[in-house]
Amino acid sequence: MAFLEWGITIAVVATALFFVIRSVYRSATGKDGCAGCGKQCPSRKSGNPDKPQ
Amino acid sequence: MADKDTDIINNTPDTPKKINVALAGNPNSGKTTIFNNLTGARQHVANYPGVTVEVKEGKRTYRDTTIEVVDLPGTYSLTAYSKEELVARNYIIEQQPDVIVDVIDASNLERNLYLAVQFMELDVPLILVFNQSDIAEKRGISFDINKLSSLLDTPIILSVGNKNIGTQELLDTIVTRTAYCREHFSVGYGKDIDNEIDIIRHMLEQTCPLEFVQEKSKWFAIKLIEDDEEAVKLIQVDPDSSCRILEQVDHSRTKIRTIYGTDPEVVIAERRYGFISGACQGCIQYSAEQRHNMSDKIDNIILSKAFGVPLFLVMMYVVFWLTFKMGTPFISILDTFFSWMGDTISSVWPAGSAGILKSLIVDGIIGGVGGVLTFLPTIMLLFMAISILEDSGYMARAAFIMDRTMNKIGLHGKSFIPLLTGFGCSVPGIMATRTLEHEHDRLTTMLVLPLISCGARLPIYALIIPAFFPHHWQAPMLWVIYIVGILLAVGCAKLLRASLFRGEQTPFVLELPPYRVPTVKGVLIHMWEKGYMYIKKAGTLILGMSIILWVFSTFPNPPESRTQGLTPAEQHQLEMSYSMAGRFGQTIEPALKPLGFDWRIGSALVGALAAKEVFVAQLGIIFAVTETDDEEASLRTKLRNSYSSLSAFCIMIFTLISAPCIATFAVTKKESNSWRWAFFQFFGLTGLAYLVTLIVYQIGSFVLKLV
Repeated sequence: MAFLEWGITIAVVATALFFVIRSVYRSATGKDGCAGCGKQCPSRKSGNPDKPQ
Repeated sequence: MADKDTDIINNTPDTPKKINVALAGNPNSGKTTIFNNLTGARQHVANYPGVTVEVKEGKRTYRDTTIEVVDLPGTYSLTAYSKEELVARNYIIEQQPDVIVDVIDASNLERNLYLAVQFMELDVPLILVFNQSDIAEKRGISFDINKLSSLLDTPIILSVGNKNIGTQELLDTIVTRTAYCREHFSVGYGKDIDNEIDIIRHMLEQTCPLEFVQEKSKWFAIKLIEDDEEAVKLIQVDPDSSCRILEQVDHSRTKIRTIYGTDPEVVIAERRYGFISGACQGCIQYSAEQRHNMSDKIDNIILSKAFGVPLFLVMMYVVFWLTFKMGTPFISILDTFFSWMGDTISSVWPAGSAGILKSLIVDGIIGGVGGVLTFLPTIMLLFMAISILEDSGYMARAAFIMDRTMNKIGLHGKSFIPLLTGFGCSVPGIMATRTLEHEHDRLTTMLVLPLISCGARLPIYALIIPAFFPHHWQAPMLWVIYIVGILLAVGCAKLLRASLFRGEQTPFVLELPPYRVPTVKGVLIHMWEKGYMYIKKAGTLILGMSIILWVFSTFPNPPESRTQGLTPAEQHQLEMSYSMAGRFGQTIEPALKPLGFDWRIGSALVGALAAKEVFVAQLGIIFAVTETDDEEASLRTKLRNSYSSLSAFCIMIFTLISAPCIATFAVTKKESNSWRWAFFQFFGLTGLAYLVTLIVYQIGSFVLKLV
């Protein structure tokens, strides 16, 4: 029982760690939009030709 | 007169020898008179191919340049409702004249400028002629032409056609091509419509085979959303791409209609008039003619110098008051629900287990994610209130009111829009600084933007304020926190503009759309969008962070020899202080003591770097892990037993000012294209937070001792 509990806990923590690192990395590199909405802003998608950066 | 003209020295060497001019304007704007003044007797009438609409053509020579003028049919807009409008529009798109002269009846300016705005959207070289300016003057209308010209980034010439006044100046402007090289122009249609325009424009650029459609993709996207028949026909030349584009157009139109409760073309027209109204505000004075419509009457009060700012502050206060007043019962329900969930899981957990998985679920996941989700009603209610203000047209007025203040502090008035976006999330706010043309304006706005309290900080305030402040002080306290953020942003912007980013400001137009009653559906959609984002974030990033923070708050465990003989409460305290989070918190505690914080707050502040809501999650985990004697008590009660009201206020001040979340840091780097500014923002704001909190806590402690 204890072995199973530890196994599940480790698996959950490892999965969480993977997703947090992935999420922070993708936010930081702009691949996944912002943490705010998780969506990429349309202005970025289209390259916002209206206003050059 | 033509002979006399040729004597003028041509001092623009790159002036072409021939210029094609299209003369456009509303019916009865005096276009024909201007045409006659420009061309003299040398003109002829032709039928435009395929239609029976007459088009007059004429030419003259001026400063060694042949000016060929085409008098387009009089139209009110460029929407293909009539043959005249279609002829005018097709001529401009297909023939691409070197310059368009839009003749405007100056005595009926706002209606006539509607066509001008559409030309500006087409990004064509434009000159505006304010004709019949003598009649306008007699009616008591006076113009600040230089200001309006600078706002619209378009040359404006005052003329009286029947007296041939202004013709010389118009000819000079036509041949001096540089006078009408305008940068890309855009009317803000509101984020919902702008998003749809962007999506369709992107599709047109990617898939439409017609080159001129790709070149004017934004204009065609707007026309498609306006359900313009001719634009739809053009797109259909390529059946493969048109199918998907028109499907998207249909989807966009339905979405806009649902949000605004009316056809997209009506909303777009309103926004254009809003732009015109904003541009004319302050540039045109009506001394004799009183303005009658309801929007103007309301604006007279809302935009007045005496009432504008106080009303804005009162409006903000009402929003926060409603948020708390209406949100409290829902928060209590969710709080009770998550407590019940934790208790139920604990009670049904099989006896004799290691308890590690139970702790992960109850303390880590329910304590963390549940703690954050409890504040969902506050988030949804705040954004419902903001959505009502936006959809009613008040937010545009707020921007107008703040523009005066912005200019006084040296910040560009356009900065208010990104700052306003920052109330939701700093990331899109920073991206919205792209609308600022000048680098100094952009960087200043970008660097101070995290000081505007974003939605992610709201759960922190919603946790702390009711825990420490009596009911009647809750709304004022939230209002104070938001105002402190705005004042600090303003102060920092002034400092930056006076030191690192000195420079001139450029004029701009703020749209003033007419007031309208927001639709219930539209408000609910906006509210749900924000709520969904919050739930999604709680179920992804915050869930992951809660699990990791639980590991940090639980491991390593102290050796059994050290826990022997301790009460359960003492044992939990020891376990927590022995954990990674405990050790880290205790390491930084000496630096945080002068601010009134202990190691628990310190470790939560570090967790908040991933996302601000994690602060609440981390406190939920720490107090769930450490407290055993009072399991039933809510997190608020536990906090009240551990900290003073002054410390609580300082926690809010620190989280408001300190380093933004990782996503904001990343987007600052990306948008400023410099690690330097991202780090400057990160450490600058953290330093400022430390300084301000230190001052508040030390002075507060001193005063409280005296009291």
